[in-house]
Amino acid sequence: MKLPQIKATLAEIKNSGLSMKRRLAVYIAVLLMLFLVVIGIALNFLGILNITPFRLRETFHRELKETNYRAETSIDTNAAHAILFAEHLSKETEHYLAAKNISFEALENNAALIDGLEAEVYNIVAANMQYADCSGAFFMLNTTVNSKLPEKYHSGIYLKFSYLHSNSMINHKTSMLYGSSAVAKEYGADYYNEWHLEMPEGIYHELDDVFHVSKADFNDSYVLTGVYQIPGTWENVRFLCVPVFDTSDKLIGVCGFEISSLYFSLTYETHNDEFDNIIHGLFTESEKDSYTGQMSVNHSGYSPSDTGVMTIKKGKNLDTFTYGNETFIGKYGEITLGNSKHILTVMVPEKEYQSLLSESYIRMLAVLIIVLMLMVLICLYFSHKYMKPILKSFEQIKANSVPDSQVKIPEINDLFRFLADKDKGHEDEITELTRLRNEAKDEYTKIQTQLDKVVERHKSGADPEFYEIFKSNVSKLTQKEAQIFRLYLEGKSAKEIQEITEINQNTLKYHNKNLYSKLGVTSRKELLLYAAMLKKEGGVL
Amino acid sequence: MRKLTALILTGILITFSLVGCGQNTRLNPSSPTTLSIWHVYGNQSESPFNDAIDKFNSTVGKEKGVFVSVTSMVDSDSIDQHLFDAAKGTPGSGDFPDLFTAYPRVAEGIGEELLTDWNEIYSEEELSVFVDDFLAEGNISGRQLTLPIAKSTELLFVNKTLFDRFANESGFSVKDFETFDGLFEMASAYYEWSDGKDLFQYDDFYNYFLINVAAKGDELIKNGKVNCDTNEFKDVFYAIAEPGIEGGISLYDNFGSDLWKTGDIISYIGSSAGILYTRDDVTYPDNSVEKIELSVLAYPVFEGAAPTVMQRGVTLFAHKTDDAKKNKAMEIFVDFLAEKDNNIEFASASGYIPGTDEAFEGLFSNLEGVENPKYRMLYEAVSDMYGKYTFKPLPVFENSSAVQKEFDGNVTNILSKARAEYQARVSAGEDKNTVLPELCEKALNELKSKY
Repeated sequence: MKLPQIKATLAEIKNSGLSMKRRLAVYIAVLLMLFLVVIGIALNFLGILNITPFRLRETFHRELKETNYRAETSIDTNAAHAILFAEHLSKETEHYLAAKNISFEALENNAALIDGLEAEVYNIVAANMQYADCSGAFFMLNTTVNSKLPEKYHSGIYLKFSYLHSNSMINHKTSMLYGSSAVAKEYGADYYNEWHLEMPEGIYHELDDVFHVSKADFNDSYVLTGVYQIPGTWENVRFLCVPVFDTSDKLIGVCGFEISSLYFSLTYETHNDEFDNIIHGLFTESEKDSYTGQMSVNHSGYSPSDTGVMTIKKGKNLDTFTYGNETFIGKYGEITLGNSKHILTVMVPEKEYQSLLSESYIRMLAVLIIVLMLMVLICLYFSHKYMKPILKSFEQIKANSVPDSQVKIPEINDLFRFLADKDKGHEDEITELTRLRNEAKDEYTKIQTQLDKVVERHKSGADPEFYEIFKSNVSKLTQKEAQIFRLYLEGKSAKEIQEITEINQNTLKYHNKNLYSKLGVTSRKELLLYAAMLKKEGGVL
Repeated sequence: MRKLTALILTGILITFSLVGCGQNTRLNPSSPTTLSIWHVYGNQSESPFNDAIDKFNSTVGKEKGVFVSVTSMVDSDSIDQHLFDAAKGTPGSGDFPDLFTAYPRVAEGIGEELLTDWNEIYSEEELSVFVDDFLAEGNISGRQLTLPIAKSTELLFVNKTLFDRFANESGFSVKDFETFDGLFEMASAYYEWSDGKDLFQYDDFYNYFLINVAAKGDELIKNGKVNCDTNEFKDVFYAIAEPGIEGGISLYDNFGSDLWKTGDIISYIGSSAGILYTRDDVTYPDNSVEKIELSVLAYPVFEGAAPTVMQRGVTLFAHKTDDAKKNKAMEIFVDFLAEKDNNIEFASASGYIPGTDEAFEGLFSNLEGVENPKYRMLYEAVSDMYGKYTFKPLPVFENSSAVQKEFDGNVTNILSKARAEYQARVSAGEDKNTVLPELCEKALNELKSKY
């Protein structure tokens, strides 16, 4: 339908109002819409019609709870493991020292003795690395092969899995990040590319701090550190560490596990059936209101680069996280793990959040459009179906024919009966009028015939000489006399002629006198007689 | 009425298709398509390839809706088995990645049907941007299964600081590294001079035999099998076996860059990409650290042999998928890597040779543009070899990955066993001039017996 047609239709509607069919369609549509709105509101209140933002918010809350539980369980298990690991190392170290008949202090600046101790504990470290949820394990000693160096170092063994490509570490090759090269060769460990003989202080600050705790203060707990980059590599790691005390409660080293960011992302891969973009994170405050941490891979395999610092903006319903160049939307919660406080985050990239919202709105709009279209279709169908017999009957009435058969709609049938009765009355009236018209026609013919006879009779009584004078003088009448003559012939009375010609009675008498005189008649009757005779002969009056 | 009904039904169909189908085939920057990748560029170090991926993710990828996620970094030897396990679904092996870098030899073990034929993504003209010889290496069974985003070759790395100490006292010079004859002679002398330290390590014995048997006019691999029964093989074997058994050549079964860290060797032949792992210092047992000067030299050649060198370096594979979005994402990522500046930037920061003609020309026509002097020295050595040397790729044949690994292991084990026996017998008073030829022959026969 083109614009002019639409305009014409609207104009027609304005002038003539809506047709019954359209009126019915509109009523049904309004009714259906009202019904849908009420159903929609009711479903929404009952929580059945959950649109994305609400569902996502609920999911964040639920995931945060689950993540909290998972983190507590996992870290707690690893911590328990680390405490046993420390006890084992303590015993083995004491055993080694006893076998050599030396004190722990005797190890300092003695590379051979330290190498010997490292070789003694290598298998303990390697085995614990296999058993724990970690990407590496270490036992750093509170001593060094060279105390004369300007920087402070710790001897010990730090082993890592050479490669990570899944969270299953069975049969993975082992690399040595810190430790004796002779021990690495002896046990077939690769040298990690950034291998060093000893671990320097000043890189992993929180781990350094553990070298200064006392047994009384520490109380069988553990430290989960923040995230540090291993110098010279792309790897970011955090440590779960515990101090290792000897039987006299003297600190001889620090042991624990490394959790690399890649390991964390593979281990904590999120699987949310509803939203596959959710990412979990474990962050630690590095400076005031700034956090570093590790994040899981989401279901689609995405995990943000872990080299940034995160800031948090708390929101009414959802929180906003800025991490490097990226922004995330989600929820966070605080968690205490061992002796340190951390935060857990459950979030999606802001872009994806906006995309989810847009998708949700587009879907709702699409559903609305489809429902509306279907509604229009239904309304048109039912109004068409409803009006079809009525319109058909109207068409038949317009065509002056009686409906073929009765429709199964009592109101329509009553209407037709009523219209049929009315039609019959009209037909009787027309018959009567036709009869009266014919009678009048007969009467007229009869009177005309009689009049003709009267004329003939008068004609036969007229003086032919005067008639000839009349005929010859008609053309000699003045304009006014001719007008008055024609008015007489039209049957006008003297009074009417006065009014028409706007003359008074005396003037009329004067014109009458001249008229009669010129035409040679003595009365109006004679005048009309000669005029009728002249008309009959076809003369010009 | 019929017209209106048709119009409404069409509207409903369009609405369905716009909301439903449309979203599944197009990349969406708001919800990026993630590609997982396993690669070997810069494992356990600062990885220039990871930097290239970060750059891609924050630029082209962000704009077009592609995110590349590194889910594993392995070395070029170990990745083979990881891929075979993942392809088979071996428990604990992880999900097979969308993209990975490996030598063409892995195609057979993974199953060629699991790999994307890049010909289905790129036209012949588009593929022609890559260096022909590099591209040809990835054409397996008529299918282009790998793309050479970067390649490498083998070079000789020398700890010049420690070598100069030896050279000053022994009379040898860096020039002696030009031939294997000179190198092996030096190795024996160094072993004596250093009280039992090795001068040199060859990272892959398989490569040594493959290249040098070819340089002498024969082939190591014949009809898909190792062939040890030639004079050329015997010459090449004896040349390395003597210092290997007597001392001077390292038989350590890992990368030479490991022993380099502690000064246990002072030279090694390995991939040009080994420069990422070749330290500028040596750590001694008392934890003191000495800064050293590095020399990167051309691949040595046996006297009278044709200069031949390995064309090595992993190439890019893709896991075959019907997911149109993933295929498009892969195409966008490869386009990014093949772009001239990106290709030069990534390759030249990791000791690799650019894979496209344009980047290759761009790098070698402007070596002054390589800012790091270490890397400039490396590319000058490579540049010298182009035109003089024949570049030979690793042959691909049935079970080639396993054969290579097994051959390396056999040579290392046989020579290690022979060295132990040699040391024991010489310590026991036997004449080393008698024991050495005997053990060399024994070792050769043992190796022959395995093929």
